Amino acid sequence: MSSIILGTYIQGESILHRLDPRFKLIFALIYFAAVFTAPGFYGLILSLAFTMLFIALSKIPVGKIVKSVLPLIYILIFAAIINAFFTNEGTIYWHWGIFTISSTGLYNAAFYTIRLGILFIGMTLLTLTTSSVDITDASERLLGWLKAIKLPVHEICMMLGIALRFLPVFADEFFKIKAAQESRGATFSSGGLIKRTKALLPIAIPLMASAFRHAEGLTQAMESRCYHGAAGRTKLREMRLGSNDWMAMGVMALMLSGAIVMRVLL
Amino acid sequence: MSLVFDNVSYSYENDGDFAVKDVSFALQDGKLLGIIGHTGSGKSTMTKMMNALISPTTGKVFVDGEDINASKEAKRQVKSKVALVFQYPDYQFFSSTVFEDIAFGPRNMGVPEDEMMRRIEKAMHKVGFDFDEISQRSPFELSGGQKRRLAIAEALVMKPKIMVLDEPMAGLDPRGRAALAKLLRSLRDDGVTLILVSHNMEDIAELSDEILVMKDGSICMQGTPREIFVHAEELREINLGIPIETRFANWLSEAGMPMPECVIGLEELVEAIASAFKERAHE
Repeated sequence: MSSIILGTYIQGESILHRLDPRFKLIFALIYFAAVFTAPGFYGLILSLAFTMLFIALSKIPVGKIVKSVLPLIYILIFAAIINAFFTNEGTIYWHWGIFTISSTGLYNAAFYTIRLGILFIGMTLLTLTTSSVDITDASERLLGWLKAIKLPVHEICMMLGIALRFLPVFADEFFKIKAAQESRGATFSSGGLIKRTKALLPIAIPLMASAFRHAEGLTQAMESRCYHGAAGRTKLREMRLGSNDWMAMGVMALMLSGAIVMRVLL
Repeated sequence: MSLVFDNVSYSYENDGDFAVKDVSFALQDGKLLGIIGHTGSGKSTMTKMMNALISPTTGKVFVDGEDINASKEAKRQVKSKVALVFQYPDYQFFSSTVFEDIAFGPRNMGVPEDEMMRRIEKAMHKVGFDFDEISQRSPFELSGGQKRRLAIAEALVMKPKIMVLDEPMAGLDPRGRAALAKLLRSLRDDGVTLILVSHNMEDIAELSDEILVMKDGSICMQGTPREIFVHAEELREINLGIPIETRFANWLSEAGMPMPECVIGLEELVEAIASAFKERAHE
């Protein structure tokens, strides 16, 4: 069931796993920028080449990566349809009401869909190789400077971390609750929109009740360990940058500059 | 034979990895069937197939001679014939009153209001709830044992022929356990066929007429408690124990006290020890 959850961390010992999580977050931003900067067909090839390199480095089976981005396919299909039917440029092949199929539209549909697909795969690699604890810890450190303007960075990151941590728990409970209600004759796949939304109540309420129970338990566990927020809190692990991290930074710089050069020249 | 599994296999990911494989059995009406097995042996998957929550990858499940996965309607109808009671009752309460929560099932099945009223009163009475006292309370403020009983009432109100209970004794204190055991026996005496899934060998030995032992998705033993728990060695190999009373009798027998081959339950154990002492007094 946990495979349903997008990019749940898979333990491993690869170079990608061992990179400093702070740098990995920065890399993700650079990757994002590079994929969006790289223009046209050659841009896609550049993005794809680097993404494939990262997949190889992560040592995560391709099947698992595909599975974890599969739920996003609807976004891709949606993007493709929007581009294909609502672009009115170039040669027009077909026109009906507000719908138009044009050459530019088809090109855009293919291009943006592939680009988004590559982006999703790359971004999943971040969560596949970095535990949610590391991600929140890293974002807390990266955003530390915001404390200067009185933003409770630690608390926000803690909340985010807890939310991430409980996602698989709630997904699991969702299916258990659904099974329990279906056993009592509930149906969730028939009737109009209003009827279907109403049918979700018997799932939503137990799920919410369970969220409160978890919150209560977690609060007690945290308080009994004297958790009191950020003030005076030390870290179990210090993050230290190694040569691998700087090498990886070099690779990312290469990717981004490649994308920028292409953008300027092509 | 109201519930029949015919060569049933189930694979969660359709990847040839089977959670349940080639299971065939026929449930005897009016009996209590215990299902035991180590975690991951396929017990839960089996129970979910009993009322068509999931459909077998291959093979068929019959209730009253009808294939319960034949159509959408068949899948829906079987819910009132086979009721499942899950381990955590908290996963199903959502109404503001106990009454409304029990009414959810019958309303889904389109039971008329007056008939439903009768059923709810009867179901609450059966599990030992005082209608006037409990029916308007919130299900969320009940105690653990009461929640368990409410979940059973919510299954009973569907008037099932077969009731499947997953770990119904877990987390109950000894008194709650005894009360639940009594309730289960009285349900069986009412003619409801019961299936009990549990890790607790004492409960299973005490209540079951017949036991299925699951291992890696298949049935590896089937028989009365006495026929099953005599195989302590084989059970240990698949990480299952035997009831404490049986184990105790086996120890005594090893220590040289004459004991019957397989003792089931506290009463039998007491009798066996008593007769062993009597025999010694005679000599």
